[in-house]
Amino acid sequence: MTALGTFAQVVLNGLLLGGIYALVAFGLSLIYGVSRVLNLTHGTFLMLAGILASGLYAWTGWNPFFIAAALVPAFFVLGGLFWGLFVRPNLTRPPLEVVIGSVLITVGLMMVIEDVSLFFAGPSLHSIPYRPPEVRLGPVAVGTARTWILACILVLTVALQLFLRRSYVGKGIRAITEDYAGALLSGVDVARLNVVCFGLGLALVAVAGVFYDMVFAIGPYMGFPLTVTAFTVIILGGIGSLVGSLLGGIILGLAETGTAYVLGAKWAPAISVVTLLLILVVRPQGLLGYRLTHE
Amino acid sequence: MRRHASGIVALVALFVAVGPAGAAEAPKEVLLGTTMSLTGTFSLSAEKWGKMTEVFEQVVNARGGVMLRDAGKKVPVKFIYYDDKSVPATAVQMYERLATVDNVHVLVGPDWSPIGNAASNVADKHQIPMLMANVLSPQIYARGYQWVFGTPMPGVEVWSDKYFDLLAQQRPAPKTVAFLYADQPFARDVPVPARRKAESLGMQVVAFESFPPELKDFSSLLLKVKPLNPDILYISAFEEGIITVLRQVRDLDLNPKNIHTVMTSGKVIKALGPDAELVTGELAWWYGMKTPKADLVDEILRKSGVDLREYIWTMSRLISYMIMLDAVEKAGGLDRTKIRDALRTATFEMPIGPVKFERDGHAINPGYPTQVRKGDLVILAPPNLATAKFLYPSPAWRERK
Repeated sequence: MTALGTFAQVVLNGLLLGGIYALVAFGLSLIYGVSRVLNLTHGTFLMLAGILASGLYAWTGWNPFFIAAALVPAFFVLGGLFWGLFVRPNLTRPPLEVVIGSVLITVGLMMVIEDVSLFFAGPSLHSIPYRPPEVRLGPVAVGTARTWILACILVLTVALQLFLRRSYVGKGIRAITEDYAGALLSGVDVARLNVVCFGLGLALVAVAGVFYDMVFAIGPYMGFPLTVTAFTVIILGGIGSLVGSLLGGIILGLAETGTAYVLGAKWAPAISVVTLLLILVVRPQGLLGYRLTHE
Repeated sequence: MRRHASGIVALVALFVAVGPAGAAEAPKEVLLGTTMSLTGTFSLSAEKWGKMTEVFEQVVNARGGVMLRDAGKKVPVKFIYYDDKSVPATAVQMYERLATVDNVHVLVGPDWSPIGNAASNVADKHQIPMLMANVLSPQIYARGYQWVFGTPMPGVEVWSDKYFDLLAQQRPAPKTVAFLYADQPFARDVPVPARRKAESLGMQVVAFESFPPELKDFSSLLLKVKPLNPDILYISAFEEGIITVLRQVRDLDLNPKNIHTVMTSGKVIKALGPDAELVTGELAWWYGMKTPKADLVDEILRKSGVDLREYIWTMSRLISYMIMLDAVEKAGGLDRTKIRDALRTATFEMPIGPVKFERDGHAINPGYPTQVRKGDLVILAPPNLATAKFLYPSPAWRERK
């Protein structure tokens, strides 16, 4: 493999990793942007989707991209129920109690989902050993599951952007994220949009779960570290900005793969912290962040 | 006559009061205390061991229990076990409880180097013989503790010896090896002696790279290794890391003549599917190996529903029970010093082969090389125990169906 080919492969892998990070962060960003709830269960829902997807794949042999599409409506409904049953009742409390309550509720739910997953799916690691026909562009393998996943993430990002910019609901979500009080005064239906955001957030994380399953492996206790990574991406990109989340994810992915190649794999996790600190010092609101007005 | 009669009565009364001279009072049972990681991170490898321990107790007691020579009879065994939740601090609390509240005679377990490192302090402090399982880091045994032993299987120092011997017998023999290892206890300990062994057989080590255990994307690491074109890719990590690396080895079309992992378990095989085919590894024991007490292992595994494919660390745990009971029998009773001395000096005939503890307390038994064939494992060496021949070299990914 030539130096150029290796460089292209490193970049491609960085984009893929960043894309998956971004997909996880999109949902979290939507939920936080609209409801201001720290959903610490987010990565755990990814784990749940991954385990369901690997079970479906083993049982039916369906194409995992089809499985991802099938999980979208199911997780959208789950997100709506999550909002209605667990999050909404807590929002009537005073602001400080809302914050503490949301942390306790989401952490509690995270533990319940982990234990239930362990009980039903066992302690084994789950993955989807799907391998599409390989396509190569010179020395670079581009027709692997990884590149199809990357293509899907790009399509999803564009679709989500179009939804947020062109649709009435999307404009409402953006309005709440950018100026909560202004959106309320303009008559935006916050409760309905919360349902949509939780539904959309979990649908996106379900897709990310299937993709994660195809590239890595999923165990019952891997949800929380992923939630932390997603928060890092959001802070890096700017709270409330979906484009920022994509940018943050890609920067993080490229930084990790590039560092692993140049300096060695042991430095890869550290670079995310260094990047985050640098951004916070230079631009505290993140790359494309809004100044939140949620009073 | 009356005086004689009263003397006889006094002697009989004395005999009844103190019992026959020289016979020790027999304990009711042998109490073994242990903790297991039934929840938390390590439960992925251990969640069925609670049931297995109960089955072990039942099976041993059904066979009559443990012979205590000093008491002149067999007594049943009883386990007291707690969940250490995969947390070293919790394990320490539980072993303190076993030592001071439950007053167990001996300790077996715990597993895993981080937990063993912390919990072994308790055993040494209270001077109770402790036989740990799956605690593999040699540094843990280098602290000079007198009451702590371990059944690391295979032993880290000789983990891959038989595998490299097998490689050296191939024609042509592999010339280059690339080592990739997770930077965490056990995973970083195994490759050091394995590297020495490879070099002693004339193989050139072209890469010896560590990676953090939390790393998910190995592509950069593998892209550095790919131009080196190693004959052997040796991966030392826990299962999640191995699955992720191997999947990316295939994605990046890296084609060594053999891929070797230190933990080619059923979980790895299940997660990778056909991509795990021909990957080699090591095990302490496998189904069908005709070795001493293999029937006992078979019975316990069957009754407790533990499949070694899923719970690859089970043998070390099970062997720790079997050796400890043998040590009690060799000691002749429940004197802790005698049990410790038996552990120090005796050789224990076990399913994994004869086990003898080193001066620092840990046993060194080599692993038996395995290879994945049609989704299951076969044993490759030694010849008298092998169940299949080594398939080497592996075909390139593109040539596989």
